[in-house]
Amino acid sequence: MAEIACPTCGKTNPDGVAACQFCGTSFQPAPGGAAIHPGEKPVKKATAEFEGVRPKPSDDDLIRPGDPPVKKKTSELEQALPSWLKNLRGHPDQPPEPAPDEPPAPAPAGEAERVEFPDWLAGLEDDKTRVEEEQVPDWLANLRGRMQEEGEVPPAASPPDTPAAPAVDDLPREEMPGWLSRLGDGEAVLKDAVARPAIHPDENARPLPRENTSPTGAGTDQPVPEARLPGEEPDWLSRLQPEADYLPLETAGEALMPGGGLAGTPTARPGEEIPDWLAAAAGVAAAEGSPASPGGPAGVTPALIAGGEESPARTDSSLPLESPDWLSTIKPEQAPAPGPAAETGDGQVDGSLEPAQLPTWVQAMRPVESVVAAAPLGESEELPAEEQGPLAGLRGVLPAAPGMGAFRKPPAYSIKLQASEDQARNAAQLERLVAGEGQRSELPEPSLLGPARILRWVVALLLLLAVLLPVASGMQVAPDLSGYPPEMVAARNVVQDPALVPVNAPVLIAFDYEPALAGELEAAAAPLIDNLLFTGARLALVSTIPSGPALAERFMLETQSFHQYTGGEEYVNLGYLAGGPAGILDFAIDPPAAAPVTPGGADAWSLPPLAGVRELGDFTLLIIVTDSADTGRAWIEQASSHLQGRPVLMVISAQAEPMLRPYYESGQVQGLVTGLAGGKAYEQSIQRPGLGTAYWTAFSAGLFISVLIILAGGIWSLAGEPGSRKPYRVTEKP
Amino acid sequence: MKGIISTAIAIAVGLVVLAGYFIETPLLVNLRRLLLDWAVILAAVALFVGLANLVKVHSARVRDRQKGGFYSVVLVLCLLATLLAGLALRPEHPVMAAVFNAVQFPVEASLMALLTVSLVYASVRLLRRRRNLLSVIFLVTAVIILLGTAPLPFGEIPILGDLLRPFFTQVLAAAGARGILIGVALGSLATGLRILFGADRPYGSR
Repeated sequence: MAEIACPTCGKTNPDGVAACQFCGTSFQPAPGGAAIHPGEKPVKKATAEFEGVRPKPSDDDLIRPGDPPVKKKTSELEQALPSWLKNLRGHPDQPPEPAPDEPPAPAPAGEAERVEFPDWLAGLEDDKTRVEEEQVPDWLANLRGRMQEEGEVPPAASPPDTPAAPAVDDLPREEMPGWLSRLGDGEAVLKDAVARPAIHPDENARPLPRENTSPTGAGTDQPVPEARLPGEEPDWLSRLQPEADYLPLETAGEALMPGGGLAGTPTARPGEEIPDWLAAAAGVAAAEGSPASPGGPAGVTPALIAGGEESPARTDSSLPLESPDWLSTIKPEQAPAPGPAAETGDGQVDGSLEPAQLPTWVQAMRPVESVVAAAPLGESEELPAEEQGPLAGLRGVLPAAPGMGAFRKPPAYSIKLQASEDQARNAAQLERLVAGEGQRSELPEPSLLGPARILRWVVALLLLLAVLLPVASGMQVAPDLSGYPPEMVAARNVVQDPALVPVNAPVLIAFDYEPALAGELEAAAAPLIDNLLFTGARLALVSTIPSGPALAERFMLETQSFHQYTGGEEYVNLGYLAGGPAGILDFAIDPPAAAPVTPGGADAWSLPPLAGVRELGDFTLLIIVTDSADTGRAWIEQASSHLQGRPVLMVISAQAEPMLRPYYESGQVQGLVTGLAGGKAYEQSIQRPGLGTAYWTAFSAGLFISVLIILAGGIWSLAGEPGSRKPYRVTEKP
Repeated sequence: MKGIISTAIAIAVGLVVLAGYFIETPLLVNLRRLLLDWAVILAAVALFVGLANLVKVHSARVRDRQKGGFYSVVLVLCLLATLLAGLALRPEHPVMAAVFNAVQFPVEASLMALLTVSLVYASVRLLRRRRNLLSVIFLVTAVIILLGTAPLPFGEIPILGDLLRPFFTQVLAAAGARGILIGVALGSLATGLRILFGADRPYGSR
């Protein structure tokens, strides 16, 4: 059953109705209006009625290549639209057309005869129930207005004078125009071509729906008649068709627009009559340039056609496409060259990008993908391909987003601690130790009769008996020394040499030892000082230890009382020298300045013992009594250079002998008396028993007992089992 | 800034004192003497600073009633009494000498005697604690030196006193002592140079 499409609202109405059931538009031809029927000759119409809606011609209305899209109010042009174009208006309440790549819906079971048509023609079959949504871009509306203002609107497209054109799908196959039917052979090519969106220079511009690309007003999804029906096509078409040469595919491909659609304006041969609207459209396009061909020469393709054109890249040249003659008139150079940047690698056109014009030298710099691509093919195909710029066509060159590089899955690390058996054991032990730190443990009460305490008491008693018994009894068990140490002999020789120590000569004695070692050093120094005092030496006592002056006074009182030396008369105590080595150096440089007064406050350098003494070299002898190797070294290093060759003698503790003996062997010290043994030897050598002799037996007995204890303890320890050793206890009190 | 100033002063003083040893000009000698006197005075003042710190620490222990505070009280009182007596009577006074001879001297001597007992006891326990070759060597050396230091009550041991002890003290010990002395001398020289160059700053920020 035939239906009539309303030229105003575009909705279909049953055949036979006088007016549209939806909008009330009358389907009767207007008085004086001429409906165009197939086979009729085109008749020129007066288009003065359109003058009222003619927009003012101005340069701003012209669309030039590269101009940005400008929205214009085209509602005023609605009445100027041809009816066939109005029929193309889609109804907004109808569902959108499925995507081209979606499989077509299966045909209803009751329409077996339509199953004969290919899928892409199914849309025409279902035209009764399917309404295409149409959105006419601004440029197309402007172009229409221009055409109307030229008064060259096709007769069949002048609503409302023109009755609704019969739907193509309603026509029997044999009633189709011949040019449509001849296109049936190349329907596959045409289908593929019209299924592509057109490229518009304006990225905001939307491509025309496919169904609007046909000049007939039928969508390209509508079936294309396979055979031409000469008797049923319009006159203007029928005059064009007989002589129409069909372009071979190559020529047709050249005539295609970059967008892939058919391009070119049907151009009449000389002498032929062509529709005015077509000629006007061609003329306007040639004069102003087509918006669909921004980069090429003056566009000769009407935007109406160009909007539905497809890229020629996917045109199958093996298919016998017969193009109309007017297509053949389009010269290859008139067709805008497809921009290389407008197409992606797979030949698809990216309508969102403006074709880039790359210089040749930039194109030469573009890397070759076959050389650059090192990744496997399957992997690289999954990567995004660059669509513009010098890297166009390459895959995976740039990250998909800033900061997103070629991520690699991080290696998985086990959070389980990998510890060996020894490490685990040590860790457990450490844990026990740390845990034990916080626990309060009862300290064992030291026993008065413990083995260690008993041993200590035994050692102490043995030593006390060995030392005190000879002193208390007065017995002399230990034999005298069989020989004298050479350093002691050298010291004695210095003291007894009148050339070195003349009578009543000033002698400087440094008492630099602690009270704890006074017993040893007093016994060692007493015979030497005693021997010296026999020469009538005037003594100057000095010390770098705070307790030194007191020790000096004690020494003189305890050991040299025999000589009846008194302070300030035979000897003078210069007191304490602060500063250690610095004090010694200061005293060596200027003794009166370093120690000007005695501890009692008297002027030391005006006393008789220091008469005639102003510097260190004025002393005839320097005797250093010390228990410290450092102190002895400081005296030698700081004072020896100021002695002007005067002899130096040292009375030292036995513990400092190893460190100070080298100074004697090097000649910096002329004599050395070491410890109690040295004092005993000196006393023995001068035949004046003193402290050394008194301590000698006790000293020998103490050494002997000590050696015995050490040997016994060592043997006992060696004989004992190593496992019987008790752990060291810090809780024991000494 | 503070560190830079202190470093500059230290380097300058060191260079002046060092130059005074090599260049016997009155200016350098007098300058060296002046700097040396300052050092001695500062050392003496440091003794008083230490004394003041001792009083402060033990006074705090007494004030806070810490354990052993009684001994701190005794220490502070004795210190103040001795100081006042010394200032009043002078160190040469017999009372001051008696304080030294009756207190300080016996105390220190007793501590040394206790040290003797402790060393002998430690020697007995040494092989009990550490039974190794070094312990044995240590004990054998100690025994040889003790036996060679003095004749035993029953007479001298010929080899020990005449041969072994001199060998240990005059060869082995002297060799080690000389090595130590050379090391000390080189260390002192290096330390002096580092202070002069500013590498070591024991006085300042680092």
